[in-house]
Amino acid sequence: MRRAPALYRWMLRLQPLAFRREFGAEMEDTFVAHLAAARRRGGGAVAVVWFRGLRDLAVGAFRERRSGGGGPSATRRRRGGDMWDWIMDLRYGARALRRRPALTVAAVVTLTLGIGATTAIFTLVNGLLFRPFGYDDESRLVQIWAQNPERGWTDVDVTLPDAWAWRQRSDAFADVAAYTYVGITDQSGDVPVRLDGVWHTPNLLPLLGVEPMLGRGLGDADAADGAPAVVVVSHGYWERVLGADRTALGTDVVLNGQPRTVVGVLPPDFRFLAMDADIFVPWPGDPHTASLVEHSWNAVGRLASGATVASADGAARAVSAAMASEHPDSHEGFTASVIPLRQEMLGDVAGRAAGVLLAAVGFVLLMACANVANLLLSRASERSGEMAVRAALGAGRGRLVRQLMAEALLLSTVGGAAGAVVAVFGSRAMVAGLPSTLPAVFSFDLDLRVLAFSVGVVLAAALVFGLVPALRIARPAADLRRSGRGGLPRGRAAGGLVVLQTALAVVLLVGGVVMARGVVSLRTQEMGWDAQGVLSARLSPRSADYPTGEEVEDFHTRVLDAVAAVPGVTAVGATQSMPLQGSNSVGSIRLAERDAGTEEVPVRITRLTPGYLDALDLQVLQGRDVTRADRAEAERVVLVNETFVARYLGGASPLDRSFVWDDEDDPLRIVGVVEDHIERAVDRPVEPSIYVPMAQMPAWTRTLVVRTAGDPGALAAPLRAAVAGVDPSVAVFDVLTMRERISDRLGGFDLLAGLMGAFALLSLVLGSVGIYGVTARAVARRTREIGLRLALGAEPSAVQRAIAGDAVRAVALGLVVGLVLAVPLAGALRAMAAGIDTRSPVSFLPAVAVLLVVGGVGAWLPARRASRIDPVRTLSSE
Amino acid sequence: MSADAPLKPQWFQILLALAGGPLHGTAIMEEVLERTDGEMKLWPATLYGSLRDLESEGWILEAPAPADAPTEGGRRKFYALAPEGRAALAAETRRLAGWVQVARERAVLDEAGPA
Repeated sequence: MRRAPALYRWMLRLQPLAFRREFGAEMEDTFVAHLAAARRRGGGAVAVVWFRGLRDLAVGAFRERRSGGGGPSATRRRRGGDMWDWIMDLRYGARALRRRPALTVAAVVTLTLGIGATTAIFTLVNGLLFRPFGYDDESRLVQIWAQNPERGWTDVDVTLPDAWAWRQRSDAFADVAAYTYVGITDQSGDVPVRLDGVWHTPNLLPLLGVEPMLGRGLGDADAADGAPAVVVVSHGYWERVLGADRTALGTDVVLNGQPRTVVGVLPPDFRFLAMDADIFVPWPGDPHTASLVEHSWNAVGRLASGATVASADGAARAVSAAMASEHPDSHEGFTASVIPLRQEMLGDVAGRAAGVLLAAVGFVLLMACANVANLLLSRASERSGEMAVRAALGAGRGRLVRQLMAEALLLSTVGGAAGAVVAVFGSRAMVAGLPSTLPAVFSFDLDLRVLAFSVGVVLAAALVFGLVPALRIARPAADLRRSGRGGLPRGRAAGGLVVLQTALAVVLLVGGVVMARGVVSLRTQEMGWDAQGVLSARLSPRSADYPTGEEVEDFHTRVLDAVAAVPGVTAVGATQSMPLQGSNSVGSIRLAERDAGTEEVPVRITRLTPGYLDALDLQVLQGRDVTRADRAEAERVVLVNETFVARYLGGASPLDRSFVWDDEDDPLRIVGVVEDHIERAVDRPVEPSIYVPMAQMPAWTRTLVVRTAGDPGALAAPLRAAVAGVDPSVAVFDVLTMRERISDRLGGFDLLAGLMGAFALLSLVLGSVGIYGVTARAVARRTREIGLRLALGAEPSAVQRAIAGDAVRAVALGLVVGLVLAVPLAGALRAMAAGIDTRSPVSFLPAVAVLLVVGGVGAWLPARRASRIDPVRTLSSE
Repeated sequence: MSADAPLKPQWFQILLALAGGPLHGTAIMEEVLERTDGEMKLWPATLYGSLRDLESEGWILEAPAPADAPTEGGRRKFYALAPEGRAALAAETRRLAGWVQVARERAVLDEAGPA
């Protein structure tokens, strides 16, 4: 016999195996004969033969499989599966689902919520934990911190000589670069614009492995003495300011008053680490000879091949020890630590929050699957007839299970597709709600990883909710005679579902309650100051224009006067920091009178002008506020807060006591006590603080704090105008109301709490539907039994108790399991929302109470129906 | 299958081909192709599906291969007409002949041009 061309042979595989075994070779032979005949006829006949021949295979295969071949020789006793059987199963499944629209819709909606929420959360997790930053071999990038355990300082910024010592003296690093974030005023346009910039050693971008999209990167030559002033800009800056002009290289821009030539443009997808910076300026000079005391740089390193984080950590410590012995004055007690860059960017909270959310949404998905499984089981009796018929026609149990799994897969896929839409919008909303403090380097676009994950979730969900019902429904015991009655055994699976759902709901509810309490307590926490009606804005006059402290003080004083004259302003002041801005500094003081000046204690330092405390509605409890008389040449005075008095002065009267600050000679005299208030962050306790008159310690960049009786947002424009009236070249930036600042700082907690709350609510709905469904199914299954009991004289209330009792016992067991599971979750949440006692029963009781009610109602409704069963009708339907 | 129902055209042609003696699948195809002037092409899946069905109807039987049949690359399966098949073929032929008779009486062919 002749063999047909490969294409035909390949297409032959479409035929059922038995048919192919019996006739395959002869089919090839016949096809070759067709081809030979067509060649004799010539023309397009060969093409026609191919077309008709292949169509014949496809149609024939379809006919063979659908009809079962029509005869006894159509053996379909095949194990395993090939593509065709699956396609047939899916077609059959689609038909089966269409026949039960209510069940299908309920299952799909449930799965849409579960899979959608899971995928959305994974988008977040993916961005935080997996999605690359876009740098070369990111796993070898590390952050290096200075540490000083002797003085109790952790994660201190490094000095340039430190960074260069690690770079050059240690084999563990292929390279080390230093950078610091700077505010840059761009005067290239008509209005000065404040931009985020990075000041860095020239090896920073090569270390990260970032190539500019246009022009060149920076090199050591750019930091040499007398090198021309150059800058590399972000893609965004190039588009916004340089008009996306490819010839813009070589353009001069004026940054902080200095003209700089644009030599490079970074690629569009480049994101710098913590901040979405626009401007990259090389630090001029030799880092070796830079200041040994300016701890103002971040050090980022690339591990040498063969080095690990641990070995680099040891190497960095060794170098720091050498530095400490070489420069005992500045470096005594300093050591170093190395941490993977992603871990550094993530911080302590974000990664854990991602894990908690993923676990929580996983529970939601599990509950959704449990509900769908229950839905499918509820049709078990109805379908057992169908299954028995198919089994009688020769379908094995494996075949029936596969058929039912195909249905599950269809449900799951449709739910997954709809869930993807939910996920796209959900993740977008979530990303919008992320705190602005989250480093810019994280991006949350959908990618293949998310796609693969959601496909995996779809498959896993189908397995989880489909397998138990499939095995149950395709039970060989289901025979034709009993099919009409639904002779399913009483299921442990049903009770298990209730326990599982209750337990998961408890966990999620506890999580939701804990987070809600956390946010409420953070929101309503006594800040000490009054956010209502407060607007804040930052200004940064250039030191080139205002070279001395007196001049800059004079500028700011004139700004304050101009702003005070704006109608509606009731108070105005300035500080170098402000609450929630997180930029007040730490220092140490020696309490002169307390102990001959040997013990140093840490304090937070805020510089302020007269009017600042009024603007925030902070009270001076003792003594006086600072005044304009507290000038640079006047006596050094200081205010302290209540915590300072309590902790360092033992509650004794602080007025007129004095202390020495760092190495200064003049003592500072305490002239007033300010009420305690939240300074760094809402979740940080109040620390001992001192408040220094700005005039005695002038800062160039200051934050204006303005109070008005009206809408603070409306003050933004007049405030800008007032500043421009004093000096139009000074940029006004970070214009935010105090409420906006609070929201900003609460961003992470808000989002976490909102999501946990949503999951808790979802779990409640899924849980109540599930408990109701399982109980209702039990009642339906036991209708005859109940009817019989009632006919034999059982009290309806006893029947009710018996039915509801089963469900309530399962709910109670679920409660216990859930509470046990909830304890570690609450612990993890507590670590994120400081200051909340998550183990207090207040967090657990509402969850337990709500679930008892839900479980009770879910069990009672079907039980009541059971007790009203009409025994006559039930039994006569036999 | 009732003998009154019309036969599928390809079944009719297969039975007709086998009326001349045992043949294997490809030979049946070629015989039908030739006899119908290429009008009826029995494509493989259709052909062997039909053969399988005809065999299970009991209308055709597997026949021993003739001694001179080539055996290269596997044995071809030969089919022969079973008595039931012959009866079905005869019934169908009579049915068709009845229609042909009616058409003749109405002189369909005389006006319709070339026979």
